Amino acid sequence: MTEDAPKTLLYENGAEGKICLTNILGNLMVETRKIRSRKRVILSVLSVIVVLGGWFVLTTVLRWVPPAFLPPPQNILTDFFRLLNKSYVGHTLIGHTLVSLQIVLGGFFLAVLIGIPLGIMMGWFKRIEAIVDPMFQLLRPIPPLAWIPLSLLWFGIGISSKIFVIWLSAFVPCVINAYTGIRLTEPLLVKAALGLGVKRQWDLLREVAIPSALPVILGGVRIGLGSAWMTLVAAELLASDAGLGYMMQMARRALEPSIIILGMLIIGILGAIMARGLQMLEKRICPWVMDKER
Amino acid sequence: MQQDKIFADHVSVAYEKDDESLLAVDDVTLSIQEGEFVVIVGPSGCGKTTFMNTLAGLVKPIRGKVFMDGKQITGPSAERGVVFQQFALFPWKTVFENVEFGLKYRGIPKDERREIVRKYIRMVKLEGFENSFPHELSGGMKQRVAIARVYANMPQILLMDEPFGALDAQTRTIMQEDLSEMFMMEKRTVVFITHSVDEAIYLGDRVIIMTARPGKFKKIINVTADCLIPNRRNLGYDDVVNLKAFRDLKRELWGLIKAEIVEKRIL
Ligand SMILES: Nc1ncnc2c1ncn2[C@@H]1O[C@H](COP(=O)(O)OP(=O)(O)O)[C@@H](O)[C@H]1O
Ligand SMILES: [Mg+2]
Repeated sequence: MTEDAPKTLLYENGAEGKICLTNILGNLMVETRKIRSRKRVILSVLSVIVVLGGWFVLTTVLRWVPPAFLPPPQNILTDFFRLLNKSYVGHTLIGHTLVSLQIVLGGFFLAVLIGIPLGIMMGWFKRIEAIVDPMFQLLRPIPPLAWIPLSLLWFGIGISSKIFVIWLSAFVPCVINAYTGIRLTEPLLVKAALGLGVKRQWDLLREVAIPSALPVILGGVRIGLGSAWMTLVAAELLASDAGLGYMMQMARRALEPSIIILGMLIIGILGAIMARGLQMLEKRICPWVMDKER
Repeated sequence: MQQDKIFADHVSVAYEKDDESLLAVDDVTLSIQEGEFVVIVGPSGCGKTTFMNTLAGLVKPIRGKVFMDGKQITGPSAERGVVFQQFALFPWKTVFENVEFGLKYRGIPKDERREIVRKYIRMVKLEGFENSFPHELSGGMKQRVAIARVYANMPQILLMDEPFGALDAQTRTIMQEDLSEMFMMEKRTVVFITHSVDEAIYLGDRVIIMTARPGKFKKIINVTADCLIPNRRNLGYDDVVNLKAFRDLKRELWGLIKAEIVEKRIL
């Protein structure tokens, strides 16, 4: 764990030769890592090509699969360009996408904004935990989708009912992770802070507990984003008058599978982009967390 | 008479565990003078950490009181800086920010803080690592940061709980020499805990041997005052451990500790 940092050795055993050797070894390791990542990119691109190619061959060249069952990929592309600025069931493709994004981001940000502070407070103040936890435990097992009927009753079929349901679905992991992260604060670090002159609870929370919980909190945000997307589509399929899920539902009724798949692809791509963005943000916010997977 | 820097007056500490009370420190009395380097050595589990936490104000005694400069210690304070075996650096702060941490709470202005942090990072020989994060450092370097962090914070007394216990033997020797040197350069009152007899004799002005749990003081040896190892602070570690005076003292201390381990069967 310690010997791999070349500069490490400077004071520990001072042998110049050893420093050089570790440097070389370090560089070698970086090199192999580079090669490995290049290989990975090639493999990933290949796999996409193979899947798309197989799809094309099955539907267009061999015609084993009827287009009503699985339309060929080029149909999806044409539909994409066709619907970009042509209205379909009330909105253009961009319009539907924006409605969905608005709902997802609205619900998600509200969840982050309310869930994280609440989780932190529950983790830090025993009294707040005692007040909030029973309610939370009771409501938590209810799947967010089970709230849809009630939220329709409360907010109507517009976007607020869906924002509410999505807020719920992203809220739960935000609260749980913030709570857990704070509770996992290393007591030794609290002791260290106390011995360095921190006196107020608030300073301990701000300077020790929150930073130490941050990686766990961001993990909760990532989970929250995932469940926000998941809930979005289900909510839109069930009850809405716009959005990607609504568009897909209408396309099913009109027997237009290529539009269904188009909707799925857009959801997949947007979800992946947002997850990736969040990952990069995490790296910026927590530069001290060594990522072992990546 | 000069007032004691630290005075522990018949201190007992116990832990509550499943309705049972476990006595960790038993009726210990100790006074420490300003500028003294006191080492407490004893078998593991004997209550060394507990006693030190009591001095730090992190643990309350069930009987007895602890005073600093005549005032009773009731809680943790920046006046008693602690170095832990497990470093306890803030992983989200750089080396610089870790060392700076306590200074912010003393209300020292930014420019002055920077000067102080620089000085102590230099003292622990970590120039160039100011912007590294703890996870980028070796164990020895982490402990250097932790030492700089308390030194910079100017506590009245420094409490070190087996600070080199997690380090390999080579690193440890160098750290011991450097700490001895720092202590010479900038005299502080230090309470240092270890289970290494060598370390205790090499560093301590006064070495206290603790019994197995519940910990009491078995013997106190005045290494410096009784001039048991002449000229020790000016010699390197190797030279000191090869002195006959050192070996004799070591044999005596080890005999006392071994007796504790064997008698109380805490192996
Ligand atoms: N937080 C605690 N709760 C209960 N028992 C403890 C706690 N900390 C230490 N002890 C017990 O007190 C005794 C002394 O512990 P400690 O002071 O850590 O010993 P040392 O530092 O000398 O190894 C041990 O028997 C240990 O198991
Ligand atoms: Mg201990």
